[in-house]
Amino acid sequence: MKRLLREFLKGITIENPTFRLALGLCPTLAISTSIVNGFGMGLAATFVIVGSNMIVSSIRGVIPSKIRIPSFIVIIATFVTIVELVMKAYFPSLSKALGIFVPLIAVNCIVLGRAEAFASKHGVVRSIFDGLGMGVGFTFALVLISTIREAFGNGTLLGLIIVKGFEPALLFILAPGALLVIGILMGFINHVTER
Amino acid sequence: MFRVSPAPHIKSNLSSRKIMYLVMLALLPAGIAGVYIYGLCSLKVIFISMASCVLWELLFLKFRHKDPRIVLDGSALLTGLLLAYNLPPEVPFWIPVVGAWASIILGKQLFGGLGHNIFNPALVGRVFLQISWPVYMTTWKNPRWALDSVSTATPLAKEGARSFSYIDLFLGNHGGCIGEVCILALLIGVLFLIFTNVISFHTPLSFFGTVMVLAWIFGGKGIFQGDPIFHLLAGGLILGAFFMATDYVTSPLTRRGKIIFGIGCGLLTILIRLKGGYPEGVSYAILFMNAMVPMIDRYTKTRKYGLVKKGR
Amino acid sequence: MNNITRFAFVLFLVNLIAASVLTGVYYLTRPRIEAQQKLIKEEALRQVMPGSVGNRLEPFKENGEVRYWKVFKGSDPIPRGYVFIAKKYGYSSIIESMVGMKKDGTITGVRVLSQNETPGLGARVVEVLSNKTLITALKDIFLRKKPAEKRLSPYFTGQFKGMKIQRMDISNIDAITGATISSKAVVDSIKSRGLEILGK
Repeated sequence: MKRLLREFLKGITIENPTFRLALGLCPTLAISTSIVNGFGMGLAATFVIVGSNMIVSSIRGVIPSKIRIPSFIVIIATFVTIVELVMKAYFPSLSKALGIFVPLIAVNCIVLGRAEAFASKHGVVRSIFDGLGMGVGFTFALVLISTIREAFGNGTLLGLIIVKGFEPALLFILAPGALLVIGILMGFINHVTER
Repeated sequence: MFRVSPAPHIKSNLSSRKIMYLVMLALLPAGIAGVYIYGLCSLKVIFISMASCVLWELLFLKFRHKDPRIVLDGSALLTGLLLAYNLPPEVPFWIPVVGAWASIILGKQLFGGLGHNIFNPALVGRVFLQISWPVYMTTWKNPRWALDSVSTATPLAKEGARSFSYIDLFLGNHGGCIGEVCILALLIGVLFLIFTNVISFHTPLSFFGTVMVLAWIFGGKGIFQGDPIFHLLAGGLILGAFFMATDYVTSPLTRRGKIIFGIGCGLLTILIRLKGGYPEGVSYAILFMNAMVPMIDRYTKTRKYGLVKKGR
Repeated sequence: MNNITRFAFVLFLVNLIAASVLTGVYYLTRPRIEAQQKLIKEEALRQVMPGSVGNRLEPFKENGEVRYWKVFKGSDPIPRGYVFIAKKYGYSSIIESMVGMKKDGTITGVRVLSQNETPGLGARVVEVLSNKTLITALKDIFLRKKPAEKRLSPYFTGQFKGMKIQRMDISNIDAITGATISSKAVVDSIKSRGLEILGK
């Protein structure tokens, strides 16, 4: 049980995909403009990581190693398409806001990275916990980044104005702001952990 | 030769601190012109900008447990001055304060302080403000003596072009940023800097040349119908090329490198002015080329003194 | 050789399973997706053309291309208005908007479909102002009040509503601060295209 907890927690802390492994930065930069987007993207990616980790680890003895990568990709793409269809059907506005970045989860390096580095070498339960940890860590990072960006760049939290009269710095909502916020957060986290 | 250059080194009696104060002295006429043209509000912007640059630097030095006397090297003051020169005269008071934060903290101290910064700090501040609050950064004030004193367009904004004579542009009789309008005052300072050997003219000249040639070719309705002199005098080209593209820390070391740097700046400036979403491109162009400097330096390395290239 | 057939078979199997799962999900979600897309389209149309003016669209074609849509009310054969697309180059991009207009030239609604203007300046043609703050929202939750109606249409294009196209001009609308060119492009494109259609 303790080991499972460790697999889960490492994705949030010491192996956080965004801040420590620097994986999956492309969707992070693109969609972290509002908390809703960040959270939605995080949940979608979590579902895909957990699903693909589960399937990959359960068939890891069956798939010959020479064709494992194409098989993983097919499995991941299947989960991504499920997410995309469900999102289009039930959360159309979120699907519109995330746009091309939902299908692009398929090439998110976190997903294939976990499938290859963890799920293909470990059991089903541990892989599920690893995927959950990675997904929650990714969601946490996205929500953190998008909270900062939405607050400073749009003057709102969850679409509600924080203080009247505050004039938001548009830079944070645009691409340079994403790089800036991620860079400063990473630097800050390194600064704290290296003590 | 009193310039920063690769080996062989000849001892120079110009310390970086002295250079900072010389450049500030050279910028003085442009500031006086700006205050004269737009009134006391520009003096307020200059003062707030310089003061907040020094304060941010002091704060960061304290936070990093460094010697607070570093602030006396003059670089924070110069950054504040240059930042103010890049602002419209009637911005709200908090604009230069936030700009100073971006300049000093983001542009300089996070990289390790003076000498370690990749980008020109004053331009980092300006671009931060330009992207964040474009309305304030593009609301210009007419000269004091104009009848209509509220917001106007700069000559470079696509709506107002061509209603300015060259002499108006040269003397600064139009809306613009505090330090960039009066070309005459800027040139007085430039002469002083060239006379005291503080800046080299390789970057500015290749910068101007590229802008003028490209403006002439592509700036007009047809090909070869543009107005190169207009593009030279309007906007922040003179200020940027002489005072910001020549910054020691963020520009190439060799003469060849400086020329390449200037050409790159010119290309990007014209590209942004003619095709981009913002009216002025000088600051973006210089920042972009700042990022290229390590690569330019690597490919324009001078041969070591006394070494003969071996034939293969 | 034996290996290759084995690989091919495994990959085939993986793909087969994936494809069948997706087919299932697709059939399960299809009706909902279609309903949602129809809803979005109707929503866009209702924004520019209220149902009280007309509710049936018929494309008007010229040389095989759809030029604009005529709007009819019920089975009435006389068109009540038009819906058209207006576009013009603004500051750094083509601004495209969908416009609803009554037969006498009164604008019933404008919606900017696409633009790529300077962020913070020209791009504000699509900005929606909200007056809900954190405090008022918390108050609403606390007092269990029904939240105030959400404003959906951007304030810039909102001011065209009810204006006569003949009298539309950059001088009698509130242009966006610092973005006169973008504002003018929207107004001019709507005016010229609308007058063109009315003239026919």
